[in-house]
Amino acid sequence: MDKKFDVIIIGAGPNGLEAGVYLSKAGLKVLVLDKRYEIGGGLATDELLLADYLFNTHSIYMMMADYAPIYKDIDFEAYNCRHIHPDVQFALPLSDGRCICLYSDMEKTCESIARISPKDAESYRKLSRIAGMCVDGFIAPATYVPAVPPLDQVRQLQATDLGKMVLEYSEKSPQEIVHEFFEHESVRALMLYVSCMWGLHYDLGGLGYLVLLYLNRASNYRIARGGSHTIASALAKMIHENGGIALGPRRVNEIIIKEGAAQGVVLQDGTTLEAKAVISTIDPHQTFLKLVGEDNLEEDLTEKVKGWQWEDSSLLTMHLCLEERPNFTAAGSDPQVNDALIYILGCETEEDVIKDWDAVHRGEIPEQASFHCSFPSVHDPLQAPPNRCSGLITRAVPYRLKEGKEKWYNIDFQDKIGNQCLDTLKRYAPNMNGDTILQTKVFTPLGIEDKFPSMVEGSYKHGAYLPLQMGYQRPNDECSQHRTPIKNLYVGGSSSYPGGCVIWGAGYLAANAVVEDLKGNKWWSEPDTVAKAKKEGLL
Amino acid sequence: MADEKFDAVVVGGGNKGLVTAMYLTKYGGMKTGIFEVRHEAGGGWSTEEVAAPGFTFNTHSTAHCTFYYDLLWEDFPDFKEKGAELLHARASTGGIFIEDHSAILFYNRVNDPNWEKTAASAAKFSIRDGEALLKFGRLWDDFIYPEFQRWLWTPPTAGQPDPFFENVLRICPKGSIDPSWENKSLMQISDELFESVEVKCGLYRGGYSYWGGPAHVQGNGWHLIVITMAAAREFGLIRGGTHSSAHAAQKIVVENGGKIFTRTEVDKVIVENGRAKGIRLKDGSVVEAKVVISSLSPQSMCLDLIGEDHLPQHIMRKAKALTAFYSAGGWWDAWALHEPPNYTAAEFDPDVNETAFIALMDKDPWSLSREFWKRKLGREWPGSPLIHGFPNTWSPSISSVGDPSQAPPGKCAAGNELYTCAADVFTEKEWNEFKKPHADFVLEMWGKFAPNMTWDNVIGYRIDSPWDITYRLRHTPINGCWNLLDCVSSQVGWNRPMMELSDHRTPIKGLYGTGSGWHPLGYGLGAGGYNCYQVIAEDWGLIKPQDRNKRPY
Repeated sequence: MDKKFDVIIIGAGPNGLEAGVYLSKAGLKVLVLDKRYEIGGGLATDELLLADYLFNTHSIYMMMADYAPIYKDIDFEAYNCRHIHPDVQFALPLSDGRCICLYSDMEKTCESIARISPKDAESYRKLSRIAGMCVDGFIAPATYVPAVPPLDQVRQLQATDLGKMVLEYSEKSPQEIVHEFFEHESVRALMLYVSCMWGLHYDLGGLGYLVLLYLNRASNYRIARGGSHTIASALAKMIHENGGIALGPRRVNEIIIKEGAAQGVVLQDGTTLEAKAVISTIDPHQTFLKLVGEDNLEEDLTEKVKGWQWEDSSLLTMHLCLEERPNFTAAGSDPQVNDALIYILGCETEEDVIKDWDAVHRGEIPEQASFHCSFPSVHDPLQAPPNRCSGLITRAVPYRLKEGKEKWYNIDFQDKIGNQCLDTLKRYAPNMNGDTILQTKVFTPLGIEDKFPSMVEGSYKHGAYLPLQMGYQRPNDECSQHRTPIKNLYVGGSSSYPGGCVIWGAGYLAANAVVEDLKGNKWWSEPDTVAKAKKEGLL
Repeated sequence: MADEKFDAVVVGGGNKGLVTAMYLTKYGGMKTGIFEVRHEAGGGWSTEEVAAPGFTFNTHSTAHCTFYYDLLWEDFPDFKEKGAELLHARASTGGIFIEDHSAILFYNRVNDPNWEKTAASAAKFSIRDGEALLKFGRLWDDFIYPEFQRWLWTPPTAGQPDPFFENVLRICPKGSIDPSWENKSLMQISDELFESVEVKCGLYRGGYSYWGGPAHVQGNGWHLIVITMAAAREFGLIRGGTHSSAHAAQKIVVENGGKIFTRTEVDKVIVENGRAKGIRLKDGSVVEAKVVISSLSPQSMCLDLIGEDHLPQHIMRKAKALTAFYSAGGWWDAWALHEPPNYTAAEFDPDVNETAFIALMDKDPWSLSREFWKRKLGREWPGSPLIHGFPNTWSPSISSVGDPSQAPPGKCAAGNELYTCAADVFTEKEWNEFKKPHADFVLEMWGKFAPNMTWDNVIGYRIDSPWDITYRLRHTPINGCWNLLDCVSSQVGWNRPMMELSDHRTPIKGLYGTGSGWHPLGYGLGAGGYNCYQVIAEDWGLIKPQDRNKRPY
């Protein structure tokens, strides 16, 4: 194998693979390296427990499939890779047998909310329209263009009505927005949970645009047929077809810097590989402090990197092999509940959401578990044996337990927390019991870090969503354009703009910067939504 | 999927299918499609993080030897760098004896080129056995192993008896190999070669790990001693896990224009006028091809893919009569550990802790046979402390293997296997209920050999029962036999799966068979794919790699 490449990408997660596909198809010789044996990063699917039950061990929900440019630019279907978009997106079953559902169709959602609170149904209609306009007109397209400095951004947004609206909501906290629109405590619980389920703090102002995005996305969640890893497999095949290579397990020990420019990488086994450009998709600490080294950094950048904050809540996941699909008590009042993609259980009032959130931030785990969960094989039979059912519980928990993080390694403790989750599930779906729950497996925040060293302290977005770590500040003002102060070194992972979860932003933008600098054949064109936003003066 | 057209299609994306496709695409210049029913291609070359996140585990094939790969590395010079890279621990295999915590170790060729370390380990029990091993080692290096390689990498001649033993007998110095060995058991051959019970038990245990059956079976001794020695000498672990080899193969196939479809089930081979025309998928779509390769089990190929109408009755009868009886079922357990097992036997020989694959055993030559038949013919609780089953254990992240990628820093990924009864002896529910008591049993047993192996050392684990093994990989027989068919003398080499099919051709023109059920053996051997391509190249006038790379075979 050659030792010289045009581009070396560190990390074969969704962003690294995405950049790899764009750049290899642009005629550049690309090498994507990952420390794990398997490419895909969070796009991981394993047969963890019993035969033929496939579990997505990290990412499962694809929330930007209708906006991310990659879906338009490449033909996933040609690689047997499809997404499933269930009609019933979220369900919040209530102990009294009723429930609230969010549908992909707004009118159906309004009908469901109206059964609980007609007034909130109307408010939802209004908020949904606002969120839809803001996301379609600005938030989604802005995800796929480089970040703009805050003052310029504000000036630009103030020039249009839609922009002003985005600014207005951005100032607010999730709780303020939810209070502004909704009255019923369960509707509030649902909306607040949906806004904060990826780690956004409920009373943090300044990132309110994310609330609009998450509420809008709550009718646009998709899962990958056959498991999330099928997406990674498809991308890797494309890279290989284009003469590139995605390779693991190859841990990078050093980014070679000569005369202020990145020249390649040194692997753990001592192999030196040269490149005209290096893209790092891993976290800022590893990229700058470990791989580049402080000696090669200006003091100012070093300080910024050292100030990077990890997320203060992480996730515990529990994978379930089930004999049959759950039958929720709430299906008595609305049979469609049983077809929902995501269930929120144990959080029936706004107070529940807040109480649990606060506990997590104190390093505690409430005895009564609340979480969201999904039964993917209900929507995609490929993920479980015939007539059986796979399940995934996702619960916000602290990485740093009061008793210390090491406690997460304790099997009895894992079982205890897992059983709390099962108790909650059984309360809402009584057919879930010792006979129908065949096998389970609990993964902890420490496990997230063990699996993905970039997710320090279980930070599944590579770093907290705080106003000073978002937008032009992600990962910092010197690197958010995906170029860094070090020539030929680029960043393109979850810790860079626009952020984490599988939204296909950072890898795309890094590829845009590299193809321009290396004068590759930029075979793709600007997304229509971006062109439209530019035309309307929003970008 | 939409109807497609290829030059060649491979049914089953296991390792034999992938290797065949590597050759078809690169050397044969054929547009090739692979159709795999599971979520990942690779078949038994599979690795997942099942015990705990960050801890890898080979969910099927684990011990890989250089002879799985030798010609592939030559014919595909970047195969190694793309992932098929074998790492060698200080010692490859061995066994620890519970009676006195002594140990016998076998060293691989890389770390012990002249057999001296292996001989020294045997000499701790018997000076004579040390000398016998050195002598056997010379015979092995000069005659047996080269002939073994030739046998592996050469397609059989249909209808002919297997010439391997005859050839070895012919080339070895007179008197060094006894003609009776072909009909003997592993026990009988070992008794002729060695005197100490420890060396002999070490060999029996190695043979057991290979085929899952006891050492006393008559007629099985010759190929057992060959495969046991070959495995001990060539043993290694693939960097990142065996699935890395599948990745490397997939990359080569895709780069050369091949396509791999996962989660795509094939229904039938389309046969017209005695000739294969393509395949029909379960979803009804048709894929045309002039060459069709089945890498499923011989039974699945004959009964499911082809069907009674297109095959002579005697082949059907033989396919139905193939056995997977003698192989034991197995527990296959993944462990995520804080620290590697620290064996008491390391005081006897420090290399014990740096051995890749070690058996925990005793010095009773008959214990394995006894355990085997008890499980085979009884319906006893399959992990009961009353039955002293001894696990094999391995630790890919021990330092001497040099693969830190398989566990988080400072931690240890490990596994064990333990033989038990066939999957169908118990129900799925019963097997699932056995899992926790089985885990307790394994730790208790392990702890007797390595006192630090307690639940406090465990971060996570995953227990696979024979039931899971049977259903995880398609076409595995009901007893969980990991070689698909018994590796008994009537079903290895040119007899595998039967004389009529072992040269990879079938009575249907354009249809070829390969896989673990074909010559030479089970295992994740590359030879099954290489040989299948040889035959296709012969029939279709394609480039043969040995011509290009100037090799005798």
